[in-house]
Amino acid sequence: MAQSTQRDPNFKEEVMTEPGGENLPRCYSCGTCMSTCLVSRVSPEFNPRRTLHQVMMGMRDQALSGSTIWLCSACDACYPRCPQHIHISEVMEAIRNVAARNGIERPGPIAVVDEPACSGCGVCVKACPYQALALVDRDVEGKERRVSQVNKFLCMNCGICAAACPLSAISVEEFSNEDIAVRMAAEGWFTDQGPVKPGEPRLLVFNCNWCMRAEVDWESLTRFPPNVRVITIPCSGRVDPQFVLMALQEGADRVLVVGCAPGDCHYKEGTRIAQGKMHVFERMLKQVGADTRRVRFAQIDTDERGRLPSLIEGMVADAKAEAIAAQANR
Amino acid sequence: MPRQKQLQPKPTARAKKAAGKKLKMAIYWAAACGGCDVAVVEIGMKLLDLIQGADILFWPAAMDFKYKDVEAMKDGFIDVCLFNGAIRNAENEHVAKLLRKKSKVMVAFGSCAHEGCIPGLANLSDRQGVFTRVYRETPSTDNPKGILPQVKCQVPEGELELPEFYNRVKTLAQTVQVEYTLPGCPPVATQVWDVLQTILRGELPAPGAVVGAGVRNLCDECERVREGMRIKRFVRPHEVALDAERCFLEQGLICAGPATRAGCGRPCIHANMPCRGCYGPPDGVVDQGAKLLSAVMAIIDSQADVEQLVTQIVDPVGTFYRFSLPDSLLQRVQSDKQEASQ
Amino acid sequence: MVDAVRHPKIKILSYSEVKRVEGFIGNFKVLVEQKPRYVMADRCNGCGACSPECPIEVPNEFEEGIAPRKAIYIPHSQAVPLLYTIDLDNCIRCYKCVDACGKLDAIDFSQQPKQTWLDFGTVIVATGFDNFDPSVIEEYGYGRLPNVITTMELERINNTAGPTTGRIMRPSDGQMPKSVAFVQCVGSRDQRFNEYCSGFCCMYTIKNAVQWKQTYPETDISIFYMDIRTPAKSYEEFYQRARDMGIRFIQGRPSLITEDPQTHNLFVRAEDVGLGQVIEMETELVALSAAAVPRADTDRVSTTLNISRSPGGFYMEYHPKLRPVDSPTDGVFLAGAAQGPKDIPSSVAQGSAAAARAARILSAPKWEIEPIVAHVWEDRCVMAQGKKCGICATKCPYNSIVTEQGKAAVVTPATCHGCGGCVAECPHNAITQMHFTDAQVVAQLHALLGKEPEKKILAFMCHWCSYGGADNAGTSHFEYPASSRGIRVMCSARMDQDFIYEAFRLGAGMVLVSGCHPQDCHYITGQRLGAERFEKLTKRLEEMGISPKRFRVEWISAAEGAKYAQVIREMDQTLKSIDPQALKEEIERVRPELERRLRRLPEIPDVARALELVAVK
Repeated sequence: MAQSTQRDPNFKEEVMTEPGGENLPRCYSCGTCMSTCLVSRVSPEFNPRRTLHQVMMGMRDQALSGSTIWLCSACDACYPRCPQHIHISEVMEAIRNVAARNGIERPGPIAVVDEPACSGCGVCVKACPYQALALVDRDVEGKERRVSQVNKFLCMNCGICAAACPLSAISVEEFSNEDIAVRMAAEGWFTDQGPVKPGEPRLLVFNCNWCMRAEVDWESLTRFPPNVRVITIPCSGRVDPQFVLMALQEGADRVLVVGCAPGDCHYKEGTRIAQGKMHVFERMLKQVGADTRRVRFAQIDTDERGRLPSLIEGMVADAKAEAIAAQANR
Repeated sequence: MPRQKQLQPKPTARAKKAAGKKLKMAIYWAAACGGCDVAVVEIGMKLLDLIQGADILFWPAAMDFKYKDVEAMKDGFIDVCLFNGAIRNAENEHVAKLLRKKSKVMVAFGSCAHEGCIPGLANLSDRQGVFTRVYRETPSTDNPKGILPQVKCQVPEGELELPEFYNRVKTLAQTVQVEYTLPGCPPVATQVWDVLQTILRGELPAPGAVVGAGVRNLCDECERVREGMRIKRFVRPHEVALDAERCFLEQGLICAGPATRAGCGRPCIHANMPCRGCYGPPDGVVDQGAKLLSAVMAIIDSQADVEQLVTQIVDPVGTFYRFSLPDSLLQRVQSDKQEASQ
Repeated sequence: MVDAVRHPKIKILSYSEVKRVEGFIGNFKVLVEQKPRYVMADRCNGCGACSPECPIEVPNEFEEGIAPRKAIYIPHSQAVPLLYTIDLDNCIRCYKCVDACGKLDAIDFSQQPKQTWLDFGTVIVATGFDNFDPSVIEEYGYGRLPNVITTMELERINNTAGPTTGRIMRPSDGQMPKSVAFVQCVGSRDQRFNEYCSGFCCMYTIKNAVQWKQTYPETDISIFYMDIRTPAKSYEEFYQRARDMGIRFIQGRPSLITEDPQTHNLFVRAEDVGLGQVIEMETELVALSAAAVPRADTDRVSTTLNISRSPGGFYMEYHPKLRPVDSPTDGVFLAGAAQGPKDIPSSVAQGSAAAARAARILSAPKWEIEPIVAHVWEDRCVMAQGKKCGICATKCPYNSIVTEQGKAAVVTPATCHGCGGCVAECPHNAITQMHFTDAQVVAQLHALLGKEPEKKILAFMCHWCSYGGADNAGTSHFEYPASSRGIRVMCSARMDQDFIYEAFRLGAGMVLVSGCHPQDCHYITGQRLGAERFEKLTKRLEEMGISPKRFRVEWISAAEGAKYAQVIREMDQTLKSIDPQALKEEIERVRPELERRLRRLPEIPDVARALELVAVK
């Protein structure tokens, strides 16, 4: 229970004076933002409506604690739908600034720089959609060097930097290059001794965490046979074309990279970056005369139901037909 | 792959000299331009120091040596072989294998041997495609009968033989076992001398190492100013007036620096041209072209039209895999599939 | 409607349009255009033999476009008068209707529009409202997903006289849906579209839900809402009844409606705020309760009748509490949703109210108007001398001034409300306002600033707001220093810059001009006139060399007595902080410029006389 004496009457002023916080009092708790946001699928405690209301009620501790305010990635899917024109991601940022000023840190994983391996080239600094990286001068293994540093208040753990880093000197927890390589090959997926039946085409799917809304679509991903391997990563911007090449070389017949529709990326830039990479990559496959059907990049609308499952089914059927045709030609 | 100190040092050149023995060295060029041999010559007066400690038993580029000289040697007779050039045809392969047999240590010297380099770009085509272009289609070729090179052909004087021209350019390491790699197109003279000294002193690291180069990428050594600007459009060097102080990527030029091993001393950058990647990938990178692509596309401007931007990259393989195509995963993916269907 | 058409004293001009309105209260002249039906009113008996023969079908406006009508049609079966009309834009002149009409011979394609000038004493605007088109809300899928309809469309489907004769069916397959979800506040209470609450949607949705549930109790009915607004008599009890019937109310505004492409069922996604959880409800039909919006021709009508519009776009009432059915223009009244979205009981009440208000005028032999009207001195008006001006007419909030080159401007006293804006704006001082003449104000200035003017604050106040505010300060005992002297005019629009120049010329320590807040002006746009003028004046005074502290502009309402007192206190404190000698010297420096600007003041009729009178004292 929240006692009225425990409330901080100045808290809402503190948030409202930050840029973006001005319209906060207009919120009438309709819940549109909460039901638009994809984060609650992954983190059920995330509720922007409740957080805004907590601020208005002066419930400082509740609003500043926990992971809620740190999970908003400013994708701004909610903003065009808010009937009171409240820029919710800016309010979240305002609350975060108050939290940071009070020494509250972001819980949860952030990107980690391997300083000895980092050359300070600054590609990650430019790539980060949240400007959460900066080059600093530090003593690394006895030498004064310029290396990259992660701002823990701003980092959203999307992994775009990890794909951008040419030295693979940044990693994100659970989605490092090694993690992904292990997941690709787990249980001997590429071998004939693994779960894939001989003759079945192997389809490797990299999909992003936010590309589908319908729960039923997520469930359908778990029901595909073992020849379809789905690796869900935070953002399609995390996909390094090296993964795709490794997968093809190890024996994947098809690789599908899925991102959100342009403009809908949960981490602002990721799907654009993936689009650029994959389009050039496909051109390179064509230049070396490789079969361009083996790699596909698809951008799907989060709200559209059934799109990804049908994409996967289509690619598997395609690969099967090709295999049969190849058999017949021998 | 970091440099490691050897656990059991080989006998020093001094020791050998003391024992009356000089290091035996071979330098060979396969499918090459000759630049790597020039790179050795470029150490200048140090050549005299070199021959103080080493005897060069075989260097067709510099002097008149014959294959039978090598064939006559015992296996493992040559201490160190500096092998430059890619494996384009049967002769290249034959000599690579021959020298492998006769040498204790093989060094892939220069980009061609290391990763295929410019000859490797012929892998965008195949033997038929190359021959047709070179011997029939080029405007300055006069070949009315459309004659193509043959492995064997009869002429009035008898039978002529040519080495078989392979469908695919390979690297040295894809043909024989290689102990060390010295990257660069060509390796810069200072690095060459540095490595030669290491060889003479018997201080080479454990086999498998890259020598004569740094560990991280070129940006590590580059003094150009980086302001944090993203790429609004891609340009090529002839399209813009190049700023001599600013990072090339921020000017829209695709500089391979981020995905290229340091160590060359940046001669291209100092000449106000972007890096082209001739030193190959740094440690930790499996495929130089894919990694460079990943880095470059991650820093496009958030307002730029992606579709338009990618059309400004005129030749993706030539840009991202200029030196590394035969050694790349991309190449292997295409080759595997092709071989599987043959 | 049948009673109305039969009443001997009521004449219904149907299928007609008001083209122009001239005149004033009690004496309106209205140009009415009767559009051609191409059907003769005295012959057509509404038998309907023509309609089945017509081959052309177009969307039926009355049925919300979900059913067709013919090119020859009646709007609905209860139409009054019951006459058919031919929609000539869609008619293909096949003349099958003529054949069908047969002996009655009621069709006449040669009809022309007829315009007539008619005399009226009063006008009542009861033009109703329109429906918001929800297709602009992309996330709801209206217009894209077949089974997303509006509640108004559902009303027609539900209605036994409607296109499905009351059988509830859904568009994709014509089947009766087993479940339905209503979505409230579609386009209402939404900063992106309409800020206001449309007022009747909660009730009509509950009505539709109750009707449906009564007849088909097994139907699963949900209503997604932000707030349920059922304030009037018995409304809350009706809401309770709906709940008792098992209609589900979910507090939570849907953010997305998607469709199963096979079944065409819909998934409504919203946070159930009561649960604090996001739910996605599958339903067979969605009805969107769309906002009421002003009719598309509101702009044209407001210009024709010279009535203004409120921020939401509906016609503006004279006063929201005290005169809700009067428009700002005397003799023109408003009733029903035209004045703002409202339901039937309120519309009927307003209809009676407007009729009563109009009857007052019609039953009176004479009508008293305010005497404080503007008056043109014809010999001073330069338009009479053939010059171009007409500034007065452009400033009048009521379009009461008629200008014609070659003639002096003419003020229509009956429509003049006495703001005085034209008087202040006339560059040739050719208009005066009865009882608030320049002479009177100037005389007051001279009297108030006779002694030690540098110690005084001269406050100009508008009658309706600031003067009331000053009064309020007094009755509420908000103390303020005795250094202020007040001059009341009707509106800040009347506060001529010459008055302020004269006040400074006479040596006033400080000058305050105070009027209504922008949205409160009794004369609609009077305050805006004043505000624009004062903005320019502030700059000019500073340029002339009068220190900015000495001139202050404030907007103080009649309830803001505390604010008035505060402002005077602040100004007094500032005044006392300046050396009086310095104030005098400043005026001396500026005097030549002030006198230059005021050189024509004595030419204004009676100003010279008034100055004499004051000087005598």
